[in-house]
Amino acid sequence: MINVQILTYNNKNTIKKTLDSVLDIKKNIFIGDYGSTDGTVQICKEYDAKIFNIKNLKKNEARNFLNNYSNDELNLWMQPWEILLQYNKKINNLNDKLFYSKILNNTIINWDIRIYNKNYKFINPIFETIDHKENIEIVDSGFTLASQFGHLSDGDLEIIQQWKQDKPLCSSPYYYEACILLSMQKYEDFLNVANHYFFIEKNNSMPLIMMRYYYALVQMYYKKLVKPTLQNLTLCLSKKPLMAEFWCLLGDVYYHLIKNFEISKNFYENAIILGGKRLKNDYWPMDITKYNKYPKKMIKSCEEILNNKSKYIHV
Amino acid sequence: MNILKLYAELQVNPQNKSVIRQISDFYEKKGMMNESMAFKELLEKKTHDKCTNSNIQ
Repeated sequence: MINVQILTYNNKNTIKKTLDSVLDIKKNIFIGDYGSTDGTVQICKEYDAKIFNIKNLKKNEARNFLNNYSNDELNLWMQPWEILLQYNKKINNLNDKLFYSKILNNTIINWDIRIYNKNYKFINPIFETIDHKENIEIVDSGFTLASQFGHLSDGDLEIIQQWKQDKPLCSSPYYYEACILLSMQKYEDFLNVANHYFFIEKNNSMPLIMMRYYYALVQMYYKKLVKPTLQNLTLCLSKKPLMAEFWCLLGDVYYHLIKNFEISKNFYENAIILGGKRLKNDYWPMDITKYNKYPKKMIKSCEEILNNKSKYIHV
Repeated sequence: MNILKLYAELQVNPQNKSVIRQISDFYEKKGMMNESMAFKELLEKKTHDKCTNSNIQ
């Protein structure tokens, strides 16, 4: 059995499904509520949840506060719009471990540390990230959750910017600030903060490579600049050559900006061939459309253009 | 062997089999066997496609 931890704010439309999905695995449900006025708390009470008012706490403070009520059991943190689809009954008190769960979000598959014990602390005031040593073993929990993209506000951006001021030498606040700016479509600000992040980040880590990919996406689709797009994509590919997303974007550059459809077609083919070899236990995010459907569509379009049946796909 | 240079060359000529082979060797030396095998398969595919295309022509 596992303790389930959810932070809520006016989630009456989704919280019931979330709670229904964890009924078979939960020992306790801990709800931290930010002052819901829509009946969310009443719904949670029907599930015998323990409810706490956490109105003045940041997300990391709220999660750590709820951890105090967990004994030695494992905890699962969820969002109030998520549904637990699959779970592993064998998970129990493996106290020294952290567990990944698979998160399905439309066409994106992501992996997140969702299961942990109370010894771990959350460090991020907006996004749930757990503070852990790099060499600690993180294993697959066998849990799968269906999610949606959460909503971010200017208030969230301000909190992250405050975090950045408090820890000016730490790269994480820059990473998350850039992510928020990207989700808000503030592209100029995103490019600026991402550049700071590249400067301050010392490890060639997954977040750094993914940030370079997002940076390349913005340079390609917003700025329509070939050189910075290719420079960043080359760095991404050298680290993770089996990411079909990277090959597809390379194909897009040659398709939309350089308009060399022969070369473009080659890169879409690479997305299918090389992407098909990506290991299943690879915990990097995956956009499943880029492994088959999208490159196939683009190869067809390239062939039509090359055969003078011009059907240029506009983006 | 500079991997960034190899990728830059591949962007100019994605059919360059020598470059694909060198990329495969690079990952093999790094112990990234899955990546190395994937590029070997890509090399085979490119070779096969070229033979097929030249036969058609």
